[in-house]
Amino acid sequence: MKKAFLFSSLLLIIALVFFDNFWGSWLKRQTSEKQIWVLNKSNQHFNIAFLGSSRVYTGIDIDTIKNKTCKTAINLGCDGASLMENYILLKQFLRAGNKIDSLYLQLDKFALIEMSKAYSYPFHDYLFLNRLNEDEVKEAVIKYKGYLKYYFWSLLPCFKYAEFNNFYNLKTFFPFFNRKPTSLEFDSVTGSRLIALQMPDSLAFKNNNNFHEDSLVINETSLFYANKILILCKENNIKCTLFKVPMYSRYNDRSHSSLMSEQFLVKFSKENNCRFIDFQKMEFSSKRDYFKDYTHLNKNGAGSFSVFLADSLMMK
Amino acid sequence: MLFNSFEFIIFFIVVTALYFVLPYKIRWLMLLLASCTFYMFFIPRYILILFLTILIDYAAGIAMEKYPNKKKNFLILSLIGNIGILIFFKYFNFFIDNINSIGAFFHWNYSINLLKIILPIGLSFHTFQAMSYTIEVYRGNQKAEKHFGIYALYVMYYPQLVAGPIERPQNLLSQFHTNHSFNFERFLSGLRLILWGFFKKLVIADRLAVFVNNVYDDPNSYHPISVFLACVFFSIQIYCDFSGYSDIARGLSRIMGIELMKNFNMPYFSKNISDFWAKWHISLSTWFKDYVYIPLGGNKGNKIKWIRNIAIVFLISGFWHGASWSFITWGALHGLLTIITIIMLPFFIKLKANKIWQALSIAFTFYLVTMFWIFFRSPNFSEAILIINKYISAIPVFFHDFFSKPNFLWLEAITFNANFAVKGFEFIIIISSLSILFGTELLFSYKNTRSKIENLNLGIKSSFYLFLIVFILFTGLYHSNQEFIYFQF
Repeated sequence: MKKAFLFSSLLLIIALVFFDNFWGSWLKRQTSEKQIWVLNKSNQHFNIAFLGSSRVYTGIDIDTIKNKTCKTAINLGCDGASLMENYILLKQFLRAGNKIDSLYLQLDKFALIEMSKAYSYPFHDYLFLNRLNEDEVKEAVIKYKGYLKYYFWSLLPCFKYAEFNNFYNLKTFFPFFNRKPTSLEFDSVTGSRLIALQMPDSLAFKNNNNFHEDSLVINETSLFYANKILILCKENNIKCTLFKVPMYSRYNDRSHSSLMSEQFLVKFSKENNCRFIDFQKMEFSSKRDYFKDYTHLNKNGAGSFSVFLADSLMMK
Repeated sequence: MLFNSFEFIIFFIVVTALYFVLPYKIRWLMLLLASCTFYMFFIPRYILILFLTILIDYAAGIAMEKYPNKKKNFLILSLIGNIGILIFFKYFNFFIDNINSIGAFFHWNYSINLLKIILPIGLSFHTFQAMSYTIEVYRGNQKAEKHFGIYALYVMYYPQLVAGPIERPQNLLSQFHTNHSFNFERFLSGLRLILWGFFKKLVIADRLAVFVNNVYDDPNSYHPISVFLACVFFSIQIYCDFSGYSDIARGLSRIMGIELMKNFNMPYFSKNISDFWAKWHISLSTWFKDYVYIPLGGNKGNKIKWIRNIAIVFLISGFWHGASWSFITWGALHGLLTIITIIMLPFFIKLKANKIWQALSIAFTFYLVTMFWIFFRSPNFSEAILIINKYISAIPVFFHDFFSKPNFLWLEAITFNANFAVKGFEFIIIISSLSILFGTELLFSYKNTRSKIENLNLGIKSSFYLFLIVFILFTGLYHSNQEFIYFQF
């Protein structure tokens, strides 16, 4: 009985190690995920890079920027990415031999407040499971999930992938279910995701006249990572500019916390000797046709905003 | 702390290791502290309620033995204490709500405020377990426990604290007084039970819950066939959820050498409703039988009294499950069906051995049990009626569409229709999991096959468990935050 148990345990360990390696290498090939696409870039040189959440991802048209400025550019923005994730992506992007001359880091109210309040899944840990040994990933996992979880994931083979089995799906082993190739949501050259949706009437005409007297509570972790990004830029001689992608003004202008965040960002940029460009103040932000919802530009808006952004890049 | 949580894995490893490392004399203390920690993961201050019931019942037990002439008084005091706490936390708002409704009906201008209290987790379970102790001491079947710590452990023993099985003192207390050393075969047997429990909970119950919740959240927008399927899924979900919990509890306990009672015995293969209640939540059914049904007279006396006793037991059982009219209706329906079965059964006695009759009986019992679960799952009475309408109409609708619509794709109707999201690979996982579950249960139900399986080559058995582990790892839901359904009771 004991022999059989030991033999089974050994077989189980072999199976777990096999699956661990399988999913690890499978993850590297998942370039349909924006984060993995960024992590797979190596030894390239970009004059300009834009880093931030979905507002950067969907709001900046790199082709327009390239055409107007005649410079190479990349969109590093990802859906629901907090400053923690932004930092990890930038760090790993640079470690892979990529070079950036000028970084535009998106900072707004959502980037500053507590991550879990701003984003539904602020750190896409399941996309970094094969990189747990790397310092910045280790630090983030410990901050986000705690020591116990970190060591559980790093020491036990395969369990980390099993925990996210909706992503690391057994379906992968059955070609019958994977006949349809997954279409890329973003441009595989520029990294931008331009969405042609219009803001629905239900949002556009929603009664939103009340001014929200909410207060702004700056989250320590968010601030910690904002500072880390600035330090990383200095270490790599990257000129960093902070900027705010416009949000629909009917939404943005009506909260105390938004006004507070603008004041904070002006102060923060001065303290760190970097420029802060607040594109929210443009007249542009009141045009409904430019938005797909309150906080995201659509394809039309991204095109127009990128023209404006390119002009301001050339003016500096 | 949930069994299906990361914290619990650590908790289990530490507690089990300490249990065997520590000397026998202080194991009770470690288990008691571990049980307190386990309970306090939910709402810490509610441990005081548990402490209060433990104190009342411990004192009542000792007093009953010391003053046998007054033991009835002490029993009554203990029952008042236990039932009082249960009524206050579980039923107070229900009564007030009904009084307010009656008041509104008669246009009274004032209403009584409801209490802002949260039901302590597993209250009905540990209250019933505590009550069984004082009743058994009163009856003389159990000696009063002198060791306060051991008695507290009897009520708080962590594997079965929040959702049973509701143990009897004769079974559990004596096991706490026995020194259990580590036994490898028992350890493996416990692990197998835990594994099987996790398979039921993580792979089947939580996966089915996604579809069931979708339909129950908006039953109006779903096709009757989808509603029917969701109801069947809920039947399986609640079985896998609850019996999965019981299996894990028994497995955890077995590893430490403490055997808990079997709570389920293939209930969905029951041939009638009485048979179902002999196989479903056995620890509660036998509790009601021993402490309510038999004291009321059981099946002795005339048929009217017998029927009355059954009706009382099932109404209380419904009320035990939850303070709402839906649960009371659920209990009443089971009671009514049991009474009808008892009256009608003698007329069908000749058919009892007929295999086709048996299969039809099983299918019909499952159909009715599933229909009654609708009251259990629906948020309110009116929605339950709406779902029942769709549930009953599903089979005629299916046959009507099947024969009248030439392009009717039945698989599409049950899987894709009305945005019902069971499709493709997901559907295959569900079907294969259910085949493993019911296939294994059926195989084990036949004595011959059971012994053949037990004598199988260790390699074959190990392969099955290896497959099960990998299957659970890659098909279980780990981020659903789905509590065990019976925790709410």
